[in-house]
Amino acid sequence: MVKITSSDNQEFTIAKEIANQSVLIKNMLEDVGEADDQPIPLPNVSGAILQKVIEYATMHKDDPPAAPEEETRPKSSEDIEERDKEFMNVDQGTLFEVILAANYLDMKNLLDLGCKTVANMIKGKSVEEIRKTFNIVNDFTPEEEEQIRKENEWCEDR
Amino acid sequence: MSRHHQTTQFSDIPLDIAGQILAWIPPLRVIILRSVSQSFNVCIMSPSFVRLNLLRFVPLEQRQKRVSTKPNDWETGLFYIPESIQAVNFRIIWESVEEIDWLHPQFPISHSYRNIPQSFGNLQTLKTARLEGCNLTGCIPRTIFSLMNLVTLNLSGNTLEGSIDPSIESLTQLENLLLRNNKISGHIPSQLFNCTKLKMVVLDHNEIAGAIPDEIRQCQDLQTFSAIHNKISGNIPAAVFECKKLENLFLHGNKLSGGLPEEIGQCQNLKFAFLQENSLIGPIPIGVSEMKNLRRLDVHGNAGILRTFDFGHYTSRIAI
Repeated sequence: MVKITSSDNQEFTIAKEIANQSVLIKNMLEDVGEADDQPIPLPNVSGAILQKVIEYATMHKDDPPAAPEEETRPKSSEDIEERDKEFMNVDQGTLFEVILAANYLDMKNLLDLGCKTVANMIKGKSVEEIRKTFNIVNDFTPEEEEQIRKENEWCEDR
Repeated sequence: MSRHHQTTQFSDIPLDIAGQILAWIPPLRVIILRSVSQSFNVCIMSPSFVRLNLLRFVPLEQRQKRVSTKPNDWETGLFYIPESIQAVNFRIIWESVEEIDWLHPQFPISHSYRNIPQSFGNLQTLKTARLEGCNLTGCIPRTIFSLMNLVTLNLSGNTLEGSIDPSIESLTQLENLLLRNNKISGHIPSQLFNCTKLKMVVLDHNEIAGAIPDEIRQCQDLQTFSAIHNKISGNIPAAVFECKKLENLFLHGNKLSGGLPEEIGQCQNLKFAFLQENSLIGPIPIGVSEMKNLRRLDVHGNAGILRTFDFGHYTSRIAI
């Protein structure tokens, strides 16, 4: 078993095969050796998010290792398992924090899942709708906006 | 404004992760999202993003394509995307293209006048570039002349302007150069004839001035030299007739002056010589009567040409 602590000092004890899904933790465990009983501090991840990440890792502990990127296979962000879709059915704040945590913990599958989920929220939306959905401020000058509009004229009506 | 209870949002995501998210949107759609914000724009316009995005969506058949006979969405996009990401687009979409054969093509989008992208010079596998009647404008980018394997360059029927750059001499494999019906001006650079494999040069209906360089004699495989309706001046150089394989010499509607060189008689493969509507003077060289393959020599509309000998059975082949 492996002990990890979150930024808000919550301690989790998890099985090694679950911990090893994070390349960051895996490398740390290899560095410190088996004997060490000290918990691994994860100062960039809150307890709530770590709980969520552990839930994902537990769900996927029996997955075969990720296949190498196959370039011939058509890829789509819609290509998500049903249980993962359910897992990602969270508020936006949690979604982005899970993405940041997956990036920090170096969990490629979880990061991919998060990215696809956000991409699916972007798809089919207009520029204005995207700004509204994600609370993004239009920070262009009118000149810059006009320049981009001109450069994009050809694909606007596609 | 108080910052209490701030939740994590899109703008807290580092740019490289934002890139991994946006790379799931198809390339021709994602480019529209440049307008969302500065950081979206920076992300979408970075070559590493474009690469990731294209590799995810451009089908392998496109990337392995050798011949393109009409422009598809991907290929049309190459003419429209901003210059900063053109290079990476060309590398992926036309990675191994050898032949582009477009004749008045129907573009998948309403196509207006476009420049030839600089990145065309990246298509080092290209052997045939026929972009005829493609609404191309501006100058022929010099990068095209770095396509070492190019055998045929056909940019006829566009509105290209500017002169032919001397760096065209780098096209050492070039056999066919067709630039008919454009607005090309300037002189014929003598360096053109350093492309010694040239078989066909067609420059009809442009605004090319100056003389035909003597260096034309370097092209011993030249069969057709055509530059009708331009502003070419000076004498017809005797060097033209040193091209022993020359069959077609079309120079009508120019400003050529002086006499017809006697050396024409040594150009035994010449079939058609259209020299009408110039300012040529003097006699038809007697050697013409010895040219067995000559079918037509037309010099009408040159007020100063003299009928000097009896053409005999050649009469019907010579128009004065």
